[in-house]
Amino acid sequence: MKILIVDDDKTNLLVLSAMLRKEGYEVISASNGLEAVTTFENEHPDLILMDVMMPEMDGYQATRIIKDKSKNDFIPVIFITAVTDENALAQCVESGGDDFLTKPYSRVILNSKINSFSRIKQLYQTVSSQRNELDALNQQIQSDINLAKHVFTSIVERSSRTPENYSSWIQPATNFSGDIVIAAANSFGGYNILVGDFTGHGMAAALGAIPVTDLFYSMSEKGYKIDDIVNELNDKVMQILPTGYFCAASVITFDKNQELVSIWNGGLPNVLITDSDGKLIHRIVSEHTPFGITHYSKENLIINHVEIHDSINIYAYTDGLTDVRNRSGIHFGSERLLEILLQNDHRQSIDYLPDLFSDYISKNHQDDDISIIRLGLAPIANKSEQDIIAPEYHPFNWDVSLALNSDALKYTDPVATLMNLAMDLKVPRSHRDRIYTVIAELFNNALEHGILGLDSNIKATPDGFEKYYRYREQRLQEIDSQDIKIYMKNESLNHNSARFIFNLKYHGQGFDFQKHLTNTSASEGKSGRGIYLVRSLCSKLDYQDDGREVQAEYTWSV
Amino acid sequence: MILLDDNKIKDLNELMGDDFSILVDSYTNDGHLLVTELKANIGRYVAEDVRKMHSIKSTSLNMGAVAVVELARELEQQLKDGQPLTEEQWLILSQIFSQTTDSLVKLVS
Repeated sequence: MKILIVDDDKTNLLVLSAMLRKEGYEVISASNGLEAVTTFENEHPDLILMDVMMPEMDGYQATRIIKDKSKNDFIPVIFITAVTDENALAQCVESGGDDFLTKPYSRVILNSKINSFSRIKQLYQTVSSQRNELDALNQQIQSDINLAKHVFTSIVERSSRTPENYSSWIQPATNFSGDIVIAAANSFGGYNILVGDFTGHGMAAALGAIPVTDLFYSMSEKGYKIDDIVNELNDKVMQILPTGYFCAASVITFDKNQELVSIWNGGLPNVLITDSDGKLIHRIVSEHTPFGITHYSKENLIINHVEIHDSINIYAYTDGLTDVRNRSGIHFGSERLLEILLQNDHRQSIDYLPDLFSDYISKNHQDDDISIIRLGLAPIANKSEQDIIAPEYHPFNWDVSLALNSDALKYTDPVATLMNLAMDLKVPRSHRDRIYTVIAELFNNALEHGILGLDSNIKATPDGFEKYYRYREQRLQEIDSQDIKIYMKNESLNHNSARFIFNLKYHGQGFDFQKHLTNTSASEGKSGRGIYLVRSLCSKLDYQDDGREVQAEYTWSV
Repeated sequence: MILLDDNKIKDLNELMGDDFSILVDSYTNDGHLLVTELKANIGRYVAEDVRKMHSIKSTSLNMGAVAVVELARELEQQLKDGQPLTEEQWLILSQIFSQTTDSLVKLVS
């Protein structure tokens, strides 16, 4: 340890130096304040013994300068002075001195003071090097968080497209939201919407959101149905999250006609539906455990199908919203929320909610992530199509055939498989949607009417849709040695156009396609209109063998 | 009159060893210089003399020169009060200082 002694009195310097050297310290000296500052800068002593009264510059001033120059380090300054009046001693401390000793001083006390400051100094050095490490670590964490946030945001918010009449409010409790709200365009010209709430909040909760979001987007795009999506998301969450972590969620899907909305709820608060008069008409309660707890059986999955006749608004939210407490500790509560939503149902958006909430919560801390969406739906006769023409689309020759046996029909989603295959064609979006429509309609007609023998008139009754889908499931489980053969082909006509051919054959009772083809009015069954729609889209539509074979040709261009 | 604190001298001797004579020289020379400088200001007040008297006191404290310490303390207070040294006061200071350094030199030899 290097000690700087500052004194204008030579005898004092001699005595102190001798004393300290004997204790094993390295000693340097300065004979006034000015010299002390220079020596301090050149020699970097660990501790300074400072006289007060000196020519050129006194000890107070020198201490001030030295302390100012050593802000990031701890250089103890001990005043050694023959001055005894209290004001002068107080000034020692005011100028930045750490302690003082009055002459004549005891060698024992001086030594013990030096020792104790040496320990304090070591402590200071340990603390400051730890602080530097912490600072560096903190910076690293901050930049990691920024990166993660960037990745997270670009995955979760990848789609700029949202349904027409849609608004959402998401307010994370911390940097990252453990809630996810996704509106993913599906291949049926509508949207699949996911509102999810992972256990906890912050980064840990947000981690699960990335794979779930990814899966949700890709399944929506590929045309998977709501039950498959729900099952897959559940399996995914079970696979990636440890025990005790799960994701309460609701999935809402609709197609381009917006005549039917399908809602599944697993662990979220009731999904609320209001009619065009702003009256509450449905509460879709959770009938399933959240994602990540137990496997669902596909047959027992409860999907609520709600027909849309006029227009409806759907509200789905996470419990962070209703669990908010005001300063008296009272929860916001679902009844209060319902009242507010109904009062403001006529508004086009829920942008009134944030202010209302911050008023309620006042300066209280928000404990959990908050998310809510409002989705307005009304049947659309002819949705306007928007072509997105990208230069990378180019037609090529392609053909695929496949046979689906009864187990494939029972246990897989052939429409999604077919659409997945057709997606490889890289067709512009508007054409792709139409090709999907052709595939889905023709396949479903063949399956539901030709093989299962379902009557589409069932749908016309008030609870028709649900009944229809129930029958469909039941009969599907009963089939045996049935199969559907499908052949799909794409013929390139020239550099920017092609003909897509869809051919389907099955062994079954067949069905009266003539009746469906002439059936153009909305009142006489929805599926009939489907074939009518297919015929209007296609350049050619031929039924043969009593409806057991159908071939459609669709011409598309870039 | 006791000029030196014998215990203090013994300590210093032990501490400094062969360098004790350097210490005595240094005390003698510096102290003599200060005392001589003070002579110039007999009868008139000069603020700087407070520091000089303080130095005499301080350096003498180190040497265990108790008689000089006693006198210098009184004179320092007087100077602080704005009262200059009288010729008589200076003479006494000078004599006591000389006797002290004489004793120290004897100790060394």
